[in-house]
Amino acid sequence: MSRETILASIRAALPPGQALPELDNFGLHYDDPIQQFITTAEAVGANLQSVDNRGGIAAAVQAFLPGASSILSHVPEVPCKNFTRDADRDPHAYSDLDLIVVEGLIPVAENAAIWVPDSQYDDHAAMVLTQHQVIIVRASDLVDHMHQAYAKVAAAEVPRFGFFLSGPTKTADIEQSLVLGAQGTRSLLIIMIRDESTSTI
Amino acid sequence: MIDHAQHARNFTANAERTAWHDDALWFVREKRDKATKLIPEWEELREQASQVKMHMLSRLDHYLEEFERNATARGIQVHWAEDADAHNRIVHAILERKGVKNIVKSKSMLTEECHLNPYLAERGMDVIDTDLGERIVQMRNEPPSHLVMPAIHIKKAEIGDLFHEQLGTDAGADDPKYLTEAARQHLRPKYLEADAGITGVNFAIADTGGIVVCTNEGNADLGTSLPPIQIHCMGMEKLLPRLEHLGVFTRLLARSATGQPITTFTSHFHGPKPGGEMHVVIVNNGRSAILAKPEFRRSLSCIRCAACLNTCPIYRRSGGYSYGSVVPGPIGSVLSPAMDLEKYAALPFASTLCGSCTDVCPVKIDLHDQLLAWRKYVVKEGYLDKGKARQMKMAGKLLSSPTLYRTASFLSKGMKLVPRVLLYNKKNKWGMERELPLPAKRRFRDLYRKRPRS
Ligand code: SF4
Repeated sequence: MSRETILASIRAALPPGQALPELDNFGLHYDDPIQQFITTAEAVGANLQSVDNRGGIAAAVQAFLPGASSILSHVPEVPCKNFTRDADRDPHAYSDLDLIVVEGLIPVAENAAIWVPDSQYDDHAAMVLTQHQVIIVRASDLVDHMHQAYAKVAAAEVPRFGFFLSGPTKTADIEQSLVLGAQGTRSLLIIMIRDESTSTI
Repeated sequence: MIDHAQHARNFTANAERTAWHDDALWFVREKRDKATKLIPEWEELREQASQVKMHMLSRLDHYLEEFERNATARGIQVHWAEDADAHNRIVHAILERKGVKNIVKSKSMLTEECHLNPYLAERGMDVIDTDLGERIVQMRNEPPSHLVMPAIHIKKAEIGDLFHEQLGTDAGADDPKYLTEAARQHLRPKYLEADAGITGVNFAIADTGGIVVCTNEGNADLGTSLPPIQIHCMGMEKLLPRLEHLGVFTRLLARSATGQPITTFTSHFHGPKPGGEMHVVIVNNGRSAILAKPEFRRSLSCIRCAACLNTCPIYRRSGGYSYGSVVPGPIGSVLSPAMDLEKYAALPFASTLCGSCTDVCPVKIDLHDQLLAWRKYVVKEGYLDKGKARQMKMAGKLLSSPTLYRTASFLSKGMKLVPRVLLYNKKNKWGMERELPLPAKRRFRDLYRKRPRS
């Protein structure tokens, strides 16, 4: 009932048709998208580690959080610790998780956001309840801006859940003082693989 | 009727606090400026965003139906609410059916507009607002005073006292880091206990049937990833035709709001979790009436970034509560009169019409033109304050008669000599809030007459 009432009241009020503008990406291009990504990632509070190939991943994770009490890893190079991968686990259990390690698919130079859909982890809850986070990206996947990023997202099947993540959680709700580590991730390490020839995805 | 001027007077009575509030918002405005200057195509982006929204509004019925079709195919349950009351009833029914007691809610101006929290509380449900700023104002039993920074009007020492009382933090502690950590420890168990999560909606995508929520704290994700029931409440104007349009809007939103390049989380929900329920409630509540008014329909493009609040010289110096409406600032002064003209008749006058709001608006809403248009409605409907009406009449006469105007302008040369009491008294509403600039030494008229002629 409401549905019909609402649609009828909209139809009675519709403005004259206005054309949808063509999608445009404004030809924006960074001369050095890698540097742009790194600078922006640091500005939004992320840590960044470049490695030559996947061989560097384990050491980078170890150096980032040597004392991690538990690790839920979604990549072959890093073993899980005090946690096993279990897609059927009660998500509440992830509140004890110290570190999650996942691959990100589309890193974006302009804002250091990374597209991480649910194909990359067993449970969305683990991604947000974890204390710390490592996201691995490949430099060769970098796009300049969000127009390109969404063109890529739209080209694939839209996942049930997916997010662009940019930095660790943060708030400035108390007198505009920026505090990193609001309610979810306290810190984020982005590992960027520079040499695309060794990629496994 | 909301007496904005009186509320503003109360606010500015504390000069130190007014200056502090003004500075805090100007600081955010400056961060916005810096962020936008890094984007050479900023103006084109705004134009695109404006056109996409205007197109969407011109086919709103079509896109709503497309959204519903696609969302339903993904297992999302779509509900339609004609007004605030219907919205509250729908949300309550979903929760009651599942015996829900504890609810975590991330930021949503729509649920504020519908007064959902008290509605659920009266029916025995406990709603925790999880955005830190919203949690702070909720603990104080206050509404948000700003769209993006709900607790912008509260000092950290006051938050320290509040947390000391309610969360047991150390007395006198006011370090933002310490207080944020205390809030984290207070809120995380709430997510674990919750039976349902509610969020607002930043964007709904017609061609995919999904919704997008943007946060910095991750609270919308925390609140929806654990409990089996998730409900997303949206005003019906939140639609975008295609997923790719998010490319435009995610570039504009955070830069306009806080000067960040993007929010920490831009979360795309396209279906319930296994064994769970996902609901989207589409709300009209007066929006189709705004759509029907040609001079005001653009206001439905608003993405609630709050840039117009941060830049507004009136908002910064009168505070969010002076508007007495859920949405404050320039956009509130445009939207609220559409809901209840008599109650909000003073709001279109809470502006200098400087146009700064229009300049910063990422979707190019002609805010100051709309404020002016509302003033005309207020006058036409007879809601103009009597004193102001009398003076406007006099000014109208003066300005429409060249002779009268010339005489007055000649006399105004002597205005400096007029005793202040004549200008700044109780009868003269205009003078109560303003200082008259000194008249120019030489009038334009005189200059023009004596201009060199060739
Ligand atoms: S009117 Fe424009 S500037 Fe104001 S909140 Fe809405 S989108 Fe932002």
